[in-house]
Amino acid sequence: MKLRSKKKYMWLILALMAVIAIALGFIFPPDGHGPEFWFSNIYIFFALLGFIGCVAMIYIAKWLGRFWLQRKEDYYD
Amino acid sequence: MINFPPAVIFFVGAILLLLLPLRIRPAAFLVFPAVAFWWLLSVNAGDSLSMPFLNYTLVITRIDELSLVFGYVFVLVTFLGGIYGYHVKDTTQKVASLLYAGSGLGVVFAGDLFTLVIFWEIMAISSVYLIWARRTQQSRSAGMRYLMVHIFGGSVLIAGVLMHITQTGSIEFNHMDAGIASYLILIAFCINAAVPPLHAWLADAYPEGTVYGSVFLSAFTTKTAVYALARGFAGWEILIWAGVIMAIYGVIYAVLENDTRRLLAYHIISQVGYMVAGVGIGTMVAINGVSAHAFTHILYKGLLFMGAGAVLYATGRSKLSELGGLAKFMPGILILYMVGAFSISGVPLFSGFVSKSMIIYAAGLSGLGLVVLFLNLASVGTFLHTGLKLPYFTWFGKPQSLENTTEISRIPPGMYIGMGLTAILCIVIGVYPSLLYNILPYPVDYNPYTANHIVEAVQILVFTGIGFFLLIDLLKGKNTISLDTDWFYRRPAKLAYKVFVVSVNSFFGWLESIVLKMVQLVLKVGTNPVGYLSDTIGSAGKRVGGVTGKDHADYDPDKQRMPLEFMGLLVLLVFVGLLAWSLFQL
Repeated sequence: MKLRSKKKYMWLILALMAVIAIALGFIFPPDGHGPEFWFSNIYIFFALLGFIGCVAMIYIAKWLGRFWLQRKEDYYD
Repeated sequence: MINFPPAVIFFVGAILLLLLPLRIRPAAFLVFPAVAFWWLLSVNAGDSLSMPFLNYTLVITRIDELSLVFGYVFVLVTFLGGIYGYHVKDTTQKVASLLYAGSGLGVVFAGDLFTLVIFWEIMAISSVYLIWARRTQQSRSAGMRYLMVHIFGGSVLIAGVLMHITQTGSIEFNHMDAGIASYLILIAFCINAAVPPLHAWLADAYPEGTVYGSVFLSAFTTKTAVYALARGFAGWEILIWAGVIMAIYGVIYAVLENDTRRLLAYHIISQVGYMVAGVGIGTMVAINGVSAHAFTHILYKGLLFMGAGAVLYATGRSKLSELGGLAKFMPGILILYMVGAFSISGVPLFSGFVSKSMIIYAAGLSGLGLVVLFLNLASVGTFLHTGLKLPYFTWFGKPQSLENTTEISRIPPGMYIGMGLTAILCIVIGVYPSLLYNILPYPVDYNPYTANHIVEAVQILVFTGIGFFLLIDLLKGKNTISLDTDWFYRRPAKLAYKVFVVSVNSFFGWLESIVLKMVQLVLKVGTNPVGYLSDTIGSAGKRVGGVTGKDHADYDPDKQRMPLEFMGLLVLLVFVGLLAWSLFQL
């Protein structure tokens, strides 16, 4: 029970931070000072990059590992 | 005015250390980086020290803004590493690390290619002792592979340098133009910078080093290569993409990695990727970014290796699948490690935030949107592993068979102090980036603390965190290793061993046995030819009669002595032969 409530608490904080992060993207749109690209005007772009990038990276690496790269520890012995 | 190169301070130090009493060696070690720091403060950009050599002028030391940045951080990390390793009694490691740091300094201050090559080779040879000093079977073979790769790299470098000198007639080390000589030199630099597919030595060897040694290993070899690339190959476009591939490659492999220090080693490849990409961009902002990132990287990566090393020191374990729940046993190490993790991940107010972004900014200024995108993606992976996976499965998570707290040894105070000072530097640079920006090669017109940049960083970090906790079960450490390009020299090694050692050996063994048999036969015949012949001829009859007991080798003078006529006959035959031959000549 204790562990579950801990987890709930953690997700709550994460959700709160996510909301803040996205809100910040809208509060501070690109100011035209730095270099800008097509993605600069999508205010939640870096949130998407973070989430999709993270999930994709894990799945791609796991897939590569499973079918190709991962071997037993004594592979070279 | 310079009287001696900075490498001399460390080389002399390495010798002095051996002469000093064992008890004061750890403290004496710290004197040498301190002296070197004083040396760095006393010189000015533009100074140089040269001496004639054959028909050339060796520029043993050349001071400019670019070499000074690397010089400062090399000296700093030697000092911090010396504090971290205060408890280390093994003088071999101390001496090796001084030689290694000294030759690293030698490389960044080398003004000509000869000097560069010499320090380059000393660096390879001295650093391997930091791996071998762990004295395990794995470290022995990993060290040997490391040495082989670097000797190969050194040979490529020498080949390129000699070619370059014959073509241009100059031994100066400056920006290179395209050509075979330059390509060879580039390959040698890329081996040390761990550019895939020439990178496997790094992830293979660094995790096998000693707790103390790996801190040094993480600092010098790759960063001297980054310096050399920035000096010789700034603006070579191929390096942009090589760097981007490195940045992504390292983080993909880190997903699969189970060994903490190997995970960190893959992140060196990723982080050096930013620098290599920056060198490829080659603008002033980019080279500033490269220097800044090399500076911060050496500190935070050193800190991360110190943290993972402290865990290894205390528990004897470095595999995530064997760690967990350590937070209550070593909270201090966790906090200090997290400073390094936040720095590498580019969390605002930590050092990586102010340096990594400079390279990305330079890519943006040059209109390289794709590079911006990929380098940001690599940041996702960096936070995912160094900032979340490694600390979660080491300090939190389920403790793996570590219930017995007596297994955990006490961490010496030097380790805490070394890590603490490094952590302070990481934060100070993050909070006051101008301290770092003031020593960069070119004037800096960049402010990392803009609202946009902070928002970007926060979005990336928070959503990477969400992704991590969603898929946390997939990231648990597994007892596996991952194939990498070292496969090409590790796996065929067995085959090569069979072809070049086992088969050659058995062929010679076979030949030897034949020769031995022949010798035995000659001996048998030679000791008693008459007996042998008469035995062989007469054996058929004897065997029938069953009287073979007597060995023909036993010489019986009465029976087997050559009659005198036999010799006379031989002499006569010779004369007849001579006569026939002389007749034939007529």
